[in-house]
Amino acid sequence: MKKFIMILVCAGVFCSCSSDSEVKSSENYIEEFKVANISAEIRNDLNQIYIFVFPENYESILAAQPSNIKCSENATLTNSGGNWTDKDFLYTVTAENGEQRSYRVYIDIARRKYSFESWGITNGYYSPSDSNSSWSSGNPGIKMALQILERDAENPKSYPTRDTTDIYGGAVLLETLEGGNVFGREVYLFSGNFFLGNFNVSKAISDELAATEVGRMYTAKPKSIKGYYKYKEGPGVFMSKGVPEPGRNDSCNIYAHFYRSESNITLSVKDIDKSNLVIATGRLPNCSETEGDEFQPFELTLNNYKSEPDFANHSYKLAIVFSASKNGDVFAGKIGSKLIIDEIEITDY
Amino acid sequence: MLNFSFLFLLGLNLGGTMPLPMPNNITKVESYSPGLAPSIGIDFLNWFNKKTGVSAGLRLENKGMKSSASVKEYSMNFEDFHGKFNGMVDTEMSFNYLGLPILARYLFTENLSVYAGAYYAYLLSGKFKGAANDGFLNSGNGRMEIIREKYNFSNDLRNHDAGLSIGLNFLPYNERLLLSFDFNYGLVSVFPNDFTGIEDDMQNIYGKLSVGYLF
Repeated sequence: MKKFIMILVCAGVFCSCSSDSEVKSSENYIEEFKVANISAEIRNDLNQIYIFVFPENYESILAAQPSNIKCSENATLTNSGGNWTDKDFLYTVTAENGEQRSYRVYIDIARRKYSFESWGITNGYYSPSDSNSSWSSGNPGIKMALQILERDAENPKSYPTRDTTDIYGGAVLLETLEGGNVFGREVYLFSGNFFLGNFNVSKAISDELAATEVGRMYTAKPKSIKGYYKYKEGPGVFMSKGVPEPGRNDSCNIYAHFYRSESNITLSVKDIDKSNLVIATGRLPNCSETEGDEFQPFELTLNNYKSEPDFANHSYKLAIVFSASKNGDVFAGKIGSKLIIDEIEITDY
Repeated sequence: MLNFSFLFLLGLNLGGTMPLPMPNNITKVESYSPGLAPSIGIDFLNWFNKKTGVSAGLRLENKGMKSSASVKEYSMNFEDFHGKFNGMVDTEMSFNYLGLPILARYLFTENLSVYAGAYYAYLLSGKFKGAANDGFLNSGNGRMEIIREKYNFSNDLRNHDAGLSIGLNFLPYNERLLLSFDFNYGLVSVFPNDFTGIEDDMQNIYGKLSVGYLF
């Protein structure tokens, strides 16, 4: 009898699912986009394809045709017609199940020098604009937190990363600010950060470290990153997860990673330190308080390459990261610690 | 004529909590195991005549199972996991209910009767957890490879179940000891209507084999 029931029940489970039609895939992504051997950075969250080219290659990219566009399995690719560099040109991917996604292409100059003169205020906070738009900060995530904490999210000075005018004109100010309880989670402090890369807002609610996607396509082998900085610790006591640790000093963090990246991989600050995709790293060994009010020069040297970059077969990203409190990711630092950076210059081998 | 009696029952549930009809994006049930799901109950019977009667009862029972199924484009939402999953989904569930069946009964012969009716069951405690394994998630922002991501929906369960029952009683030896088989079909999902963790309504579909003693 028991066996009979089991057969009855199991037969119901197994049979009712085999006769229906095949489920079709909903994936409608461009997975790879190459033009003149340069891989584009594909932003599925914004439906954008970014191509970063050095100024000397700009004209040849405009004249070339994309040679390798790979989309999701069983999806089909169409375009709106015209030249792919036209402003309104769209690539449309239709998934097997018919869902469509249209991508716009952006061609941007990959720069080797940044002076941080141009900024825009959008959504209440400072964002680097124009020639600096490859840089990002955690400000979009901070905005959500400020709104929850009922602080003035429309005032750019409420944010840890902002523009400042110092002796070299526009510069980047990163400050460690007091946190609070956000979505039931105690965020003891907001450490200002600034990085070459992109802040992915769609990941920010659950994990702001994973949202901090560092690195931009870079088609040369970087040798060093030079710049100027000054650092002042905050006036109070060092706090670690809300617990005072008198006598401990705060320090800033300045580092760069060069890593292998196929077009859809961007590492975040959460995983980059442990990633085996990183082939070279440069870090400022001592980022403690600078003397006086003068800027100090710094240089990150990438001379420890694990392997030679293979630009013919792989694409690479360069990540440069600054933060006002080195251990801000684990909510340790001094409220009011300020890092100011300016005049970043990248040199290649 | 009114004729009261009591029926004491000890049984085992066997079945599954599943979407009906089975959606075609659950492509194959790779494994299933019923687990031990005991039931203890009592029925108060009232016979109107020699053939027909009604009963009301109380059941303290467990329903549960473990399964592993391959899915395609299966909508799942928990923690950081949002989108359409393609891969294997392991599920382990166990529900403890206090049930109230109301049944109409018909006697064919002295030792064979059938019954049908409805039940309401209050969830005393429940577990519904598992993992998405070996596949990928279409998050809407690209593909994420998934090795193993655990989920636990135990705190999201609906606090009751209600459904239909049919069954038969057989008295093979004497007028006291009986064997009973019944089939219980839950009409509501074990999750509330606004639940989005998985896309399907999960209904309790269980058969039960019991031994009983008639007082």
